[in-house]
Amino acid sequence: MSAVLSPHVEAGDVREAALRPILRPGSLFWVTVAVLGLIVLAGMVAYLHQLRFGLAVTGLNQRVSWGFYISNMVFFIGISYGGAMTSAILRLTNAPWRAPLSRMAETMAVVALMVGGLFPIIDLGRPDRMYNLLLHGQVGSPVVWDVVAITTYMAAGLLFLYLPLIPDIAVCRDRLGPAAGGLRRALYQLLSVGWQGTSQQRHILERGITVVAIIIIPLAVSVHSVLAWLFGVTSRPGWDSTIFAPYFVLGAMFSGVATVILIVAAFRKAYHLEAYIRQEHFQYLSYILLALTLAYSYFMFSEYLTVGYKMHETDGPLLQLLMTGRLAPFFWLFVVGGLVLPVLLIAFPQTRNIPGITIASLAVLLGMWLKRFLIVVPGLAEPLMPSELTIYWPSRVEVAITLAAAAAIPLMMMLFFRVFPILSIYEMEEFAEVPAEHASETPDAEAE
Amino acid sequence: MTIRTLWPLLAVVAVALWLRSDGAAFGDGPAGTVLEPLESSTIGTDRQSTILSVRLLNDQDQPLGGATVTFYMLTTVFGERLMKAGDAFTDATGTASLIYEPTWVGDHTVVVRFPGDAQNASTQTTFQFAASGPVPVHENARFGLEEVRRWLPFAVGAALLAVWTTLGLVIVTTVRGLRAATAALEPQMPLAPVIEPLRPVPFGRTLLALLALLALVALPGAWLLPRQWGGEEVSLSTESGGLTLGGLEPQGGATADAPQKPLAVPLDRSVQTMVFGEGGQLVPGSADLPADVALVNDRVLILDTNKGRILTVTPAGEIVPVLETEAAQEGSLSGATAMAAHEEKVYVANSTSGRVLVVDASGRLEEIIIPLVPKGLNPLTLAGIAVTDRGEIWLSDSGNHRVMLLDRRGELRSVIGEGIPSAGEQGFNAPAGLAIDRLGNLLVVDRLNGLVKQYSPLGVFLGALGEGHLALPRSVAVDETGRVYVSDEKSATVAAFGADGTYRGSIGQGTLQAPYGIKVKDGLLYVMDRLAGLFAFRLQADESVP
Repeated sequence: MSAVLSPHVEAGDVREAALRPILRPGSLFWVTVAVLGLIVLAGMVAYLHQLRFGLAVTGLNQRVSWGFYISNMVFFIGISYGGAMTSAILRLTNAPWRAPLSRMAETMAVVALMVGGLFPIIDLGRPDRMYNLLLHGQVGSPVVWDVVAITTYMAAGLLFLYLPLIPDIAVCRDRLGPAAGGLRRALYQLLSVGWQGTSQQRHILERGITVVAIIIIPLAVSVHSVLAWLFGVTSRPGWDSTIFAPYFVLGAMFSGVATVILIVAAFRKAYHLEAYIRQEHFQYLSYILLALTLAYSYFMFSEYLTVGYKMHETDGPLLQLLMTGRLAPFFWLFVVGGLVLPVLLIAFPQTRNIPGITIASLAVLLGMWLKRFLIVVPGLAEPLMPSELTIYWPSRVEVAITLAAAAAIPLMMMLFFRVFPILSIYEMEEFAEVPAEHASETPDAEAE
Repeated sequence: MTIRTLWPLLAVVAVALWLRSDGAAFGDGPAGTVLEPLESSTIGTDRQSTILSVRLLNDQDQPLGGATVTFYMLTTVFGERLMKAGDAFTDATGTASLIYEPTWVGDHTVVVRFPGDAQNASTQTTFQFAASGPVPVHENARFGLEEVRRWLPFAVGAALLAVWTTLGLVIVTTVRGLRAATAALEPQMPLAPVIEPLRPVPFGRTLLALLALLALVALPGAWLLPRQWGGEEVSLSTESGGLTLGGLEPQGGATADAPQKPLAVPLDRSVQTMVFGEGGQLVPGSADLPADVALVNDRVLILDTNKGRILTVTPAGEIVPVLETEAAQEGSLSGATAMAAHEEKVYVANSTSGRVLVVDASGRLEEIIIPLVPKGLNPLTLAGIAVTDRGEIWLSDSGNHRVMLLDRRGELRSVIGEGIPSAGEQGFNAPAGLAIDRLGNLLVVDRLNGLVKQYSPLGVFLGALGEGHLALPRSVAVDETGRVYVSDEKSATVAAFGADGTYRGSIGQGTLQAPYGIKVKDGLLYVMDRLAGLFAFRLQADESVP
């Protein structure tokens, strides 16, 4: 028995569970892949349509040039950050309960970053002119900072996913053997870098993982801070804030933890991982989510209080637009759905169970997307000189691309777990050997 | 090493050279073609735009007409950049002008380029102007801390280099370490022992098939979709007859490229309002982007928006001021864009100050009316005015998408509009010009919906006209027989409609450049063109023909 594995599960079963998506994906797998693939396909068609006719097919206009696309960029990079941070912090604090979650969190971090990183390119009317950024990039431009930060974070994220995966790739190499097919066998052989699980190899690997885990935390903070400065250094109503960087970082963690919970809940159900991912895992994550909800509410209150108290000429109409004007339904939907409802669901023991926590996470996720939209668009729509308020309404192209991006994340994760283990076998087996006194710290019975 | 092995490298170098050469061609061609900057009008407080002008001369020193030149603004916030301001055509004198709305206060550097053609070499010129207004409600940051900023990129670069180096070291040492440890083991134990190999479900071929399907469906799918699939067609171009008007684009029901049916309406007379000197600068008495015209008694009054004046036209065809105001004074006319005549007075709606000024025919400021209206989501932006027979004032508040009826004291009587953009019968999307017909009904230009809506004196919706024929309507006028005329900034024409609302055709095609305010009196259609001047077209007496 251990702190990580269920009392009913032997350590050796972990391998079977972790390889389950590779060995027996089930018929539901192909149905889900088909549905998600169709949504992604629709998004690809929409993007090619935009490529052909230009940004005129979107709802973007002269003033609101950042609509759905840049909101999506902030949102998806944010959830990526949450995934990486959750895994890195729990790894550095050596929290044993992280073991069955870390693989999904780290994969989600990389996949969400890939999707989020595409949006600045999608937002370009002429993506073929991307080379200008390389030929004529200015070090003083936050756009350049953003590209550099995202690229660096992507490299670190890939490393953070790959290093703990090495022993598990070796398991695939050894357990699947010649039956895996030539290409896959070569892939396992190459990526496992000769792992045999000796104490020397474990030491080398642990050292590498720890260094990357330490690096990835400030990197992720910097990525989201740079994203925040993209807004903060621009003179627009609602963006002129000194707390934007920590506000964005906190918001990213908030939405990221919610995404980890949702992803874990979905894969747990789909691949029958209930024996390894139990109610207490969700409860631990929900406590983090609760703390982040309260912290984010505090930041938001602080932001609006200082702006609303002064009601400068540009901020006043913006606040009115958000709180009592045309966008008020969306704003209050975010406050109630994205902040109040999750707190209530997590605070009460009766709803602090897997369905309740999953609903709370879904509410947070949708609310945080809405919040990103409410940060990006009204600030641009509000005129700086006496003029009409610009109206932005997304076109079908933007909606299709947004839905495709949302579908691409679970799709890419499903495809990834068809090749690599969904659970961190190495870590789970490692923690399975922990002394019995740690096991007594976790509840004995399933409360589901 | 053969050329075969080097060709990828050569290809990359060739592409890089080709990309580098892009944009370096201006002024590199044979000498001769010249772009002469003409002095731009300096922006004063409360002014909204300026005119940028250049003259294009060929190698014979002759004006080059019909050519396209492109104006750029040099921005320096994050390094020097050229921001495209717009394209403009040169006229018969070789002059190309562009209305530009500055977005910051201070010096502006303008770069103008002529790309060249078969006969004429490419060329470019640079000039500057200063903008002291309009006063931005949000100040642009002034960048300081030069010393810190100089070193910051190096500090950040060093940190970045450290991160990348660490990541590189981690991957290299880990992979090499793991491999070395395996190599040390190899003599003792075999690599990758396979115990009861498991058989995974085939996956690679299915995935490849899926990707092939995506490519097969996505590419033709995108080409089969009509352009309108993305939603209402929204043009991102701001060109209008060679002039960039900036700011607004038609939305919703507005038609970006309304079909034109030119009408043969004779031009009775015209007055040049903006007069340029030899160097291309505005002469002292010249108007600066006038916006509207009003007819009081026998006087034709012109609203000189940027200079805050009201002008009149002498019998000799000259323009002389009858009222001059300063931007800072309470009764300033700077920024006013609409006016209406009533009982030998003219009522001017000032969009900047949100006030209505009453001026008599001699140019004496009689009264300032402050509209006592509820605060909207945005500052009050008066874009149109009409006065009823009883002296009540209709005002359009473009910023808050409403039209308001005020009494003589400025107190609110009634409101049409929802305060937010709307396409409904009782709503507008940026209402602009107003007019009152012979029955006292109100005509409202619903600018971004591309319509003119008609309301009874009590505000009951009666109907709309112009659907499919108006791209970016601005002002409306109605004659004694009920025919309706609508100035359209996008098509640079005035659209004519019968009393029953049917589209008759367009007036002023090829003559007008930036039509704004319009009025009809005594069989003449007066069109205030912000660039080209004041035009009076002779309308046909026959009701069926404009």
